[in-house]
Amino acid sequence: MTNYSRIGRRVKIAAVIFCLLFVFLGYHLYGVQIQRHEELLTKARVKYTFETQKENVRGEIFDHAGNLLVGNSPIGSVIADPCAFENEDKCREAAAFLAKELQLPVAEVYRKLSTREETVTDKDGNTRIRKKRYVLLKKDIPFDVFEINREHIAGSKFKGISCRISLKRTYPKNAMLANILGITTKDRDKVSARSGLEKYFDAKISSVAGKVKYERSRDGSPLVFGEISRQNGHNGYDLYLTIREPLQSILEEEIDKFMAESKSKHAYMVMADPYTGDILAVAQRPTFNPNDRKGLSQNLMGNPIAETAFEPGSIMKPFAVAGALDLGLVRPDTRIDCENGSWFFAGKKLGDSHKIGVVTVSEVIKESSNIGTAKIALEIGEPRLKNILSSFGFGQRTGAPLRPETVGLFYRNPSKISITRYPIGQGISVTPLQMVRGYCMLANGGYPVKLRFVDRIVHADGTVEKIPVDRGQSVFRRPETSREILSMMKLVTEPGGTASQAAVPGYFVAGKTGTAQKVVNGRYSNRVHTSSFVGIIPADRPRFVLMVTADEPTGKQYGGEVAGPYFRSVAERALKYMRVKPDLDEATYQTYWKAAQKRALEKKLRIWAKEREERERRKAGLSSTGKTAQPVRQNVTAPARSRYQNSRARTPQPTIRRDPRRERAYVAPARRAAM
Amino acid sequence: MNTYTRNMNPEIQEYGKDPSANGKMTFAGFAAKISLLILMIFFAVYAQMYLRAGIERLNKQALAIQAHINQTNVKCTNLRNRREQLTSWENIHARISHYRLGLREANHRQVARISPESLQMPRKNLRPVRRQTAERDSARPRTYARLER
Repeated sequence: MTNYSRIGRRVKIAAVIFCLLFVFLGYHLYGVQIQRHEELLTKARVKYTFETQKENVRGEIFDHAGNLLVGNSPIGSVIADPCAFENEDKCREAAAFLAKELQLPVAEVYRKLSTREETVTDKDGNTRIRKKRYVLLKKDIPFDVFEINREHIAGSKFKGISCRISLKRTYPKNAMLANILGITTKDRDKVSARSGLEKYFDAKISSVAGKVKYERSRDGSPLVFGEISRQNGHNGYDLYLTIREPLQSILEEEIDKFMAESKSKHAYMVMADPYTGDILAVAQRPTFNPNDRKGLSQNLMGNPIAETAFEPGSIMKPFAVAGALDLGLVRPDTRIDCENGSWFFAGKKLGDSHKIGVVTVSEVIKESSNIGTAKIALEIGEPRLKNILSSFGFGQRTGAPLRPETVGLFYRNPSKISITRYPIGQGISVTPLQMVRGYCMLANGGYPVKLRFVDRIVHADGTVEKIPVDRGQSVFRRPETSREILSMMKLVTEPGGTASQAAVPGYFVAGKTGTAQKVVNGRYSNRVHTSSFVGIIPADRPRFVLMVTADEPTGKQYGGEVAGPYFRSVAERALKYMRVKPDLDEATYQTYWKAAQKRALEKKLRIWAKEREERERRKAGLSSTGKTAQPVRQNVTAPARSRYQNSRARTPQPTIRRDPRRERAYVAPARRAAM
Repeated sequence: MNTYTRNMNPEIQEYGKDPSANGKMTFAGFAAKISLLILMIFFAVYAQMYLRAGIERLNKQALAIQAHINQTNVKCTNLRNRREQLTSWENIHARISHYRLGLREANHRQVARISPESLQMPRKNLRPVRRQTAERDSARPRTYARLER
């Protein structure tokens, strides 16, 4: 055998071995690439692909000028991996260090770090023991403190301790506007809105998490070209309210004083722009501090200005009178017999707080005569009165973004006397927001406005979504109706009116007081009241409508006495902030005020003189007429008292000059559209 | 037949081969070509690896910068929240009360208008402007203006 043949054999053996190896390799490749392809691919994907979810930031809430009302504040938490500590000594050392750094008891930290195993229950109900790789040492650490902690922890030699930053909802202004803004709660990193604007606009404020799926390297970092899919998220949208923080601060400060002085159960102050329906400021008591939720109950979180309806009392009167003025049934100087403070209608007595004789319609408003207003309502008639009140938005939602919102009680189970009670604010209930909207309409010439709390929504990409001002057609047929009713309401804050304490020096204030008796055990109570004052200032070129209400005040009860002074103090400060020029300079105003005081005094003297004369007549045995000798306009002839006293079951039919064209004018806008 | 026999005659040469090149030289050329090819492949792979490493490094730097930006944003957010807390009226009012600052609200009575043309008027028609305490004893001439409320 030659060498060549020996070489040839070796080559053949090698070739065979290589062939066998290739066959094995081919078989293995077939198994891996074809037979077990799906299984292995899935395994590989699980191991090397990773999905990260980037949590975006929830939108914030600002006032009109961009002052932060609700924001996101960074807070820190420190977590540890108990399995990272090699031995007991290391664990004790780390516990001592962390306890000192985080100001926690050493024993507690050591207990957490030394627990290296935990029992878990699987989905099938089996329990098993696994290594514990995560323990929360401290959470909600203020950011300033957390920065120091993080620096110290990073500088320490311990492994397995990590610091994490998260965001927490924060309210930098504490209790300011808390009820309106609402609160959120966090459960397992999921934020859920509980009340207020947070809840109403939750879909807009909530962020959308971004998801990225990528292949990662062995150290966990994403590969450059390893991105598999990407779903872009975005931050929540920011809300810019119509609230002005300086005005809000004024209201918050004054309402605290108001609550302290009136010792009332609840108190509300609402300030609105009559032309746009913007709520400029709103304060409610009791309230809460959303940064401190210990002992927070569901009752405190509500918004009584939208959820609670109350019998408004005399603040309702201007609406009926405005309706009568607009229909041409009365004029400001039309004289009405107010029956010296006591009048029977359909067998039920209606009284005034003090004796009022024959007065003009302006004086009915000025002196807040129930009887005078009831007689005007009788002139209007039941169906038209309902239309009038309805056109001012009573019995309807205000459009404010607050839920729940009640519509109050409006024309529910009306009776024979309802026509005399509804216009004086009895037997009807409204929310403070409805009342503010009604006064906005009186101030702006009768244009219905939708109350706005949110001015604009700023999207994450900077797009601004403006919330439009919703303004309908005027409910007044006559343009001068608004001016006339405001002129009447100006008398309320002048000397002799029911709210002279609400007058603001230098400005004309149109307003109306209300002292509504509350129903206790099915009867109107003489002790428990709702005292209110609603004012429009300056009366001739209104800048805002302000409602001040105290629910069940103790001590003083009349709206002018309870709410009037606080209207004045709020309005004075707000006008200065808004730089509204006074109607009159100081000297002219003083002269005007003194003249009004003189007129009021002269009127009182005249009344006292008449009363004295009457008493003397009685003493002398002469018969008393019981009424002042003022002539009464024939178009508003009051029905004689005896007539109704004798026939109580009979509904009176006062003289009503019907004009079908004017009746049509008071169809509510919604109905008008439907017609 | 033995096909592995070698022709020992040196004169017989294969046609087309360079007479100056022997078998050793041919192998060197081939090896050089292969080496060049391998070198090119090596450089291509190396360049790719180098670039990828560069990209990775830049990517890591970008991530670090991004993290730094996030951290700075968090700090900014924290400072903004702090500013909002400090500028709230509740806080300002508490400080005014605490330090008993003699601040009061603006009043239109505090404002006096001075008309410049009045400076042209005869001196006897004007009344002297109240001087500041510090100026009282100075030798500066008195200034005059008509005050209007």
